[in-house]
Amino acid sequence: MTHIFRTALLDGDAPEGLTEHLETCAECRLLDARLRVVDKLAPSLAGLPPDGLASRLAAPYSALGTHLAPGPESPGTDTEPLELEVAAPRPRRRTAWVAGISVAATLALIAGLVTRAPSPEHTVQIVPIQNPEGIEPMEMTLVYKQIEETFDGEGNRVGDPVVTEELAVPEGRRRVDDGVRRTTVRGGKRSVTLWKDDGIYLVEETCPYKSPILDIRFPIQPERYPEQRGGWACEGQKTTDFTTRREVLHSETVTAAGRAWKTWVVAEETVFDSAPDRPAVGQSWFAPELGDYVKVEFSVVGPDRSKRVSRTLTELRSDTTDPRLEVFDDTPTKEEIAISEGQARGHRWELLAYQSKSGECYKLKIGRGWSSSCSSVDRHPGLHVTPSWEKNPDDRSEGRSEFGSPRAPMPPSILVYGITSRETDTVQVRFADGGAPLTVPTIAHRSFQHRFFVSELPEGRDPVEAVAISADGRDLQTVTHPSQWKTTRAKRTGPVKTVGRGELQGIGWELLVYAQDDGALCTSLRGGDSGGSSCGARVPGERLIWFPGGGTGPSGSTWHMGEADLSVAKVVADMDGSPDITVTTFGGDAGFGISFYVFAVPQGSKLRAVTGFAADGTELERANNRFPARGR
Amino acid sequence: MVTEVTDERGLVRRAADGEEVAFATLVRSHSDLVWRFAMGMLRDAGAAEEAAQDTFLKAHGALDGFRGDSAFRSWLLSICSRVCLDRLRQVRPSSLPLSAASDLKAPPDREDVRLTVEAELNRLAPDQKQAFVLVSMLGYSRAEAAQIAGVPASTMRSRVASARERLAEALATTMLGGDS
Repeated sequence: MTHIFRTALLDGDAPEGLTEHLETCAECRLLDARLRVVDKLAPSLAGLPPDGLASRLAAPYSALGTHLAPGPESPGTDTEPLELEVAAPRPRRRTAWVAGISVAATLALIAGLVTRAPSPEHTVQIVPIQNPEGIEPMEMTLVYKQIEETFDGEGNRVGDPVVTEELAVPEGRRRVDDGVRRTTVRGGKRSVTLWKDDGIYLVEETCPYKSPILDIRFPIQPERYPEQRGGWACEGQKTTDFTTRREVLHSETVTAAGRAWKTWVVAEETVFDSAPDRPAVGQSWFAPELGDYVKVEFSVVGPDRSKRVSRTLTELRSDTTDPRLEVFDDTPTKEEIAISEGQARGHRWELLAYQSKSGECYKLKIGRGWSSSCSSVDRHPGLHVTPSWEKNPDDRSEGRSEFGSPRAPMPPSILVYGITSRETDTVQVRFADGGAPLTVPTIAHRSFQHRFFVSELPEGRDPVEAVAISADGRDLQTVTHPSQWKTTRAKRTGPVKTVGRGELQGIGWELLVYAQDDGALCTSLRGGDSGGSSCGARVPGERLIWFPGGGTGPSGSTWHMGEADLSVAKVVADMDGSPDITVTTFGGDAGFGISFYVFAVPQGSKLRAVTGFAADGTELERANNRFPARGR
Repeated sequence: MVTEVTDERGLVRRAADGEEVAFATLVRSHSDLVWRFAMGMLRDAGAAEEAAQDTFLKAHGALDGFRGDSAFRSWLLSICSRVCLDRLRQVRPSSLPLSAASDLKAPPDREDVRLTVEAELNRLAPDQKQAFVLVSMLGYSRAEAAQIAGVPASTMRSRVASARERLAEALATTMLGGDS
């Protein structure tokens, strides 16, 4: 064989004359045959990913610690922002996460929590609980929770809380005889707690814990639990281990989801083996009546950066008539049926459908083993929207049509497909370029109540909308493509005002403030080449001063910025390790209805509390640093 | 749910801004691809999953470094590639695990061919294996694979050719010739 043809075969090329050469060269034909076998086998050599891979890999980035909870702070409750002893104000830096906890992200100066008033029409008194503390846990029916998550720290988007929804699914709860009281499955990820006579144990959070973690001991009382070692065991795979310490501090009344809850404040510190210098510390408010936490505040504290996460319950219902509370179980009850198949730009695809326990499911397979996930048309679309995305209003109208267009295995999108109602005759796909729409006939199958559609997309055209059209030409439903959903970013309602300037430790600073349409106030303290911003609720009328947020300033000390009522003229910072600091408030005339204060805590000192004084020297209010000390 | 078809650049930007939900979405979108690449390189499902975990962890920590001048999946694979190459350097090349071979009961010819290819794939030099996995197993063009591997296209071409040649030669004992 000549070198040129051998090289061509090995390169997979077909130069002129190769075919003729192969006819005369036995050695070449042999090589060609073997190479074709190799090529044919190659795509299958990687095999198919194991079940649940995506969930396991994504779990560290979609779950935070072991507590899920909630509860917007309302006036009159203890809502001091946490003091963060950490640092590093440099805007828009990325964060890094290990095993579900952010280990990086810089904090800036935290003003407070973003709050949103619960919707009264959606707030339903939950089924009463029989046993607050160790007795008989609440006999829950289906419970729907809406949780708002806010992130503070460098790089976080200002004023853009993430809203998630969770369901307590009755099928997931069962009684067993070995002392276990209840198992709960919540939301899309599994979260299993065991209720025993002596307390509540965390058993699973997406992946099972290697051994149950004592979460709450009965009877609940102020006490420090023994240090616990733990870790997750995802189908036998090695995962991050951790050491966790918990302490019940005291009881406290917290308002969440439109009502007051008696809670126990639990301080927690978890140190992951993979990031021993970045412990996750925080407090959780456990409501025995609910049998769960109504508020969680966590910070990941590192030597140079930190991040704070606050989860608050904004809505709680046991209203089983809400279609969104429908329990969905896509476990197949019958074999998959091929609805349609074909080739698109070199990729073989197959649209499959099957009956599941909760209804009709469908999925698209395309390319080499790649498959889309299953979805039921009967499941309300609102439940599987990426939490921080605003749902398309049409999404909630009927929940009868869905569509998607896979990007795999190669960009760009090559297919559009979906499921729609029986009445839908065609689906009209509209494109971002505004050009001629694509009309796709729907496919009926005798085994299914719904119809399906699938079609190759014109190259270079991005779908934005699909309209289900009946045989007589009526528009039955319009569904917006997920790429068109809008984010729920709050908007600034007024100008950014510089409410104060000054100098700390020889470095000039300025404080910028603006208001948002969600009621939050956004602040940005800048000094030297550092700075930090956050958005949060203003000081409620019932409180006169908030404990300040803090971050490492340019000189390595901790800079603090806080808010106070207009009646507060002076703030005294009570320091552990150095003399008290007294500063005057400013910015009260800027039109935000509150005033501000700024000071720096020297390195090695810790801020214990701030006290607000009126102009005549009257002590008005003291706000303590209730953040648990690191290294408990 | 329906296939994730969100604007990937937007997701990357949001993830870089610290929104872990966005990053989780990216992970879900690319987990299969990353795992398949790692599986191709490491030939062990558990090791592939660990490598995929490492890959996403490193990617999350390096989002600032992603300039967007290549596809996000290519960038992920370049990270995964380094992760796998590091792992391969730490272990001695071996053929198929004995358990895998002994579990076979009178394998049919086709299975025999497959085993032979897999065994030889295991023995390939890491850079050849990387090239073969990217181009032949995952279907990347040589230019794309070269970008992912950080080598000139000509180098990628020769690595793929060498890998294919070795795998084809390995079949000499199990295939006498002709089409499959």
